[in-house]
Amino acid sequence: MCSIQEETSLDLNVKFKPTTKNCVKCKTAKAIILIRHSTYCKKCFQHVFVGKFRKNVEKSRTASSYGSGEKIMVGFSGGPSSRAMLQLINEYNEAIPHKRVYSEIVVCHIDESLLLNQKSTIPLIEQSVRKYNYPFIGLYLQDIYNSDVTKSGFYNSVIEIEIDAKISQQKDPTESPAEKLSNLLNNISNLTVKEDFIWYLKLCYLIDTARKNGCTRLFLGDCSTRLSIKIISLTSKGRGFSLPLETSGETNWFEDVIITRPMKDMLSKEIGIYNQFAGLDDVYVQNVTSMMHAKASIERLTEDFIVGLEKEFPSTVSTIARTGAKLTPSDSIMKENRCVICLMPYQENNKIWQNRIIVMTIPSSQQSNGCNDIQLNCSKNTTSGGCINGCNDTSNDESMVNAEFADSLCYACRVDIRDIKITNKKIILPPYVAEGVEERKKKINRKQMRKHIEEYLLCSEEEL
Amino acid sequence: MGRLCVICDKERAIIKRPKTGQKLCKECFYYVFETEIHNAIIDNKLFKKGDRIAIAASGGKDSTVLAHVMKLLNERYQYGLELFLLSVDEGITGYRDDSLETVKRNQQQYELPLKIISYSELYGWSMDQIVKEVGLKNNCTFCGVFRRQALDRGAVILNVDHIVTGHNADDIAETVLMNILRGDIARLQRCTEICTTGDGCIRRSKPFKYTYEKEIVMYAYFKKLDYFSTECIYSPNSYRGHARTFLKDLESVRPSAIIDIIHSGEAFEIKKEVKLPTQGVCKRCGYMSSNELCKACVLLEGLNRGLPK
Ligand SMILES: [Zn+2]
Ligand SMILES: [Zn+2]
Ligand SMILES: [Zn+2]
Ligand SMILES: [Zn+2]
Repeated sequence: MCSIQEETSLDLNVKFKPTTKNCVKCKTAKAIILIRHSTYCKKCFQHVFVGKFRKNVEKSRTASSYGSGEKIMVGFSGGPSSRAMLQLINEYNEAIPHKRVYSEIVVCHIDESLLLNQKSTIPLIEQSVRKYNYPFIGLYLQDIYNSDVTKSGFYNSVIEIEIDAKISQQKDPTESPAEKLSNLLNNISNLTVKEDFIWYLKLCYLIDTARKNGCTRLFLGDCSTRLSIKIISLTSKGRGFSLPLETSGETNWFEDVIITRPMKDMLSKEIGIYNQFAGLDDVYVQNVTSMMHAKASIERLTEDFIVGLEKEFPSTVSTIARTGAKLTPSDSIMKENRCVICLMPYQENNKIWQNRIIVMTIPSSQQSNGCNDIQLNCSKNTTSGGCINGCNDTSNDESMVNAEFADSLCYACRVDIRDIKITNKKIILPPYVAEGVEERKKKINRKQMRKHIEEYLLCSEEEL
Repeated sequence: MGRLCVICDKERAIIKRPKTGQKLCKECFYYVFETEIHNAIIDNKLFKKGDRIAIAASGGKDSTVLAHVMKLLNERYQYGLELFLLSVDEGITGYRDDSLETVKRNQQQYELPLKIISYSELYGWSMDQIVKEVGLKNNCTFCGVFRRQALDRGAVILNVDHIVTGHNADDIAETVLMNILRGDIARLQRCTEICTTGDGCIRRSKPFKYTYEKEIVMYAYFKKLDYFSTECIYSPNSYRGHARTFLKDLESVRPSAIIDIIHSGEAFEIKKEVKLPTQGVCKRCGYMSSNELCKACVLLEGLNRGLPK
């Protein structure tokens, strides 16, 4: 899912500079490729490249309880990195045909063409992977609004946020999935938020699809260049708490679907060279900030920054990736504290933290404006009260809903919601979000019930 | 006919708050600015009654506003602190002379005792002499390393418990980014701590940890606080410069980015198997150091070795 594909193709010419040096590996063949400070011949380059992939998948295999015969899903964007990944997985699995590592490989692509009003990418993608003869699943991002893209498989309520920031849970409205998604994304003028939403909707859809197809592992094609950009952009968006889960080579955060990133040690330019040698064509897929100026979004700005810095200091990407790899998910992460939008863990008390360092009221005015959060078009001018960020004023049902919703978000998703300026009617968040809110509410209810009867209980929650 | 302040709903709004974009009146801005600093001090239990505190004063905006706010909060909330100004004279002609004048004026305004400690009396070298020797390439390394120690030694002379510095949210966010870019995992973990203590060393803290640089300037501007506003004349255009520019760009894309980065930085945890340098003391001067000799002593040795006899 590497989105910096333009970069790879542009860089190629530079890499084939004629050199008189020999390959650093075999010491005999003439080197034709320069990666950072090392020169390689074609054969050794390919050997090293494939070696990095194998090292990563083998590490995850030994850690896996499935051993051989695992059914996996490959997240396939069509970009260079996922293209190379699919080829590598295929070679790896076919190495000993009667002893395949993976019993079944499913290729899954999510079409985002609706966002840019373009032709569907599915036919082109399907054609490019046909030669592998793997089952192919082509999904449309808007179908994340279907009631079956939920844990229960048939949850048909959604979350609605209106212009005055009123939040409510509604029975599935009549608009088509495409209308709902376009309306959501058209209402988000802030591209940083838009990219966040698109990414997490995609991720949730991929996980859900893997789960429902019985795949126990999802391969994502993030390369080291992509990951280093992600490390900086996630940090900049306040996602430091979940960063290790979102950038590591492997995570079991989604329990029954393990995410593996076998391309994490390859630079985007290495991938470009490998694809060229192997004759692999990628499919150019545009995203919402492609070709836009650097300050369009945090993601785009970070990409510009890292790619530029890497040109001047060629170890930038590898240093950042190494730093990121030394971070670990916190011990304080709790499975039940899962943000309903991004599905990543949130910290307890992060709202209190925010309210202490961003003071929004003075004591005498607290009554008239009971909101402690940033820049929200909340209670102030409306009689309804309550704001998206969930202020302390929970005097009526409506603001209760708002507070409940705010409490089920991570810090960064709350920042995102804050930056949405609803201009057109209302926005609708998919059923899986609504399902998450309700699930959380039920859990809290149970906790309270338990507290109530605690002294009469003779066993713990788990024993029941 | 301006619009009204969104907090008090009475006065005319005259500023747009950099941190939040809210339109505020002057008094409400002062209130939120000061209260956030007070919250940072209280929530992190930075001081206790009777503490002797040195304010690191450079004459620049951060330390000038820090001195003002520390004095104000100490009186308003009765922290019961004894405050001092501590200034380091790096020996940079033109730059330091003017800024030290500012510090001296601050001393009179705030009626706080002042101690000035100079590089030449501590190390036998002024920054001007160092630049003559090493050129403009690594001079900021020298200055940074020397200043840190100079403050500690000044604090010992003043017999204080604690040094407060004017590092603001922008500085901290920038340092988080820098440490990721440089791969300095040990510093990445330490740099978001509001208070640091080495063993036996003096506590240091940053009451401005969550305070935006732009708001510090805004506060100084409206309170008509007197500060010296030129950048160090030996200022570099290094790797850090890239990080600084990037941070400014981030802030313009999303103003809360500075706080968001600090939020991320506070959440980072390092794998247990990653080896961090163990903290010891310098064999020569006894200052805390992860190597046999501390950075200042290594730099000094190099300087002295190159000294023409
Ligand atoms: Zn070779
Ligand atoms: Zn979230
Ligand atoms: Zn006001
Ligand atoms: Zn020393």
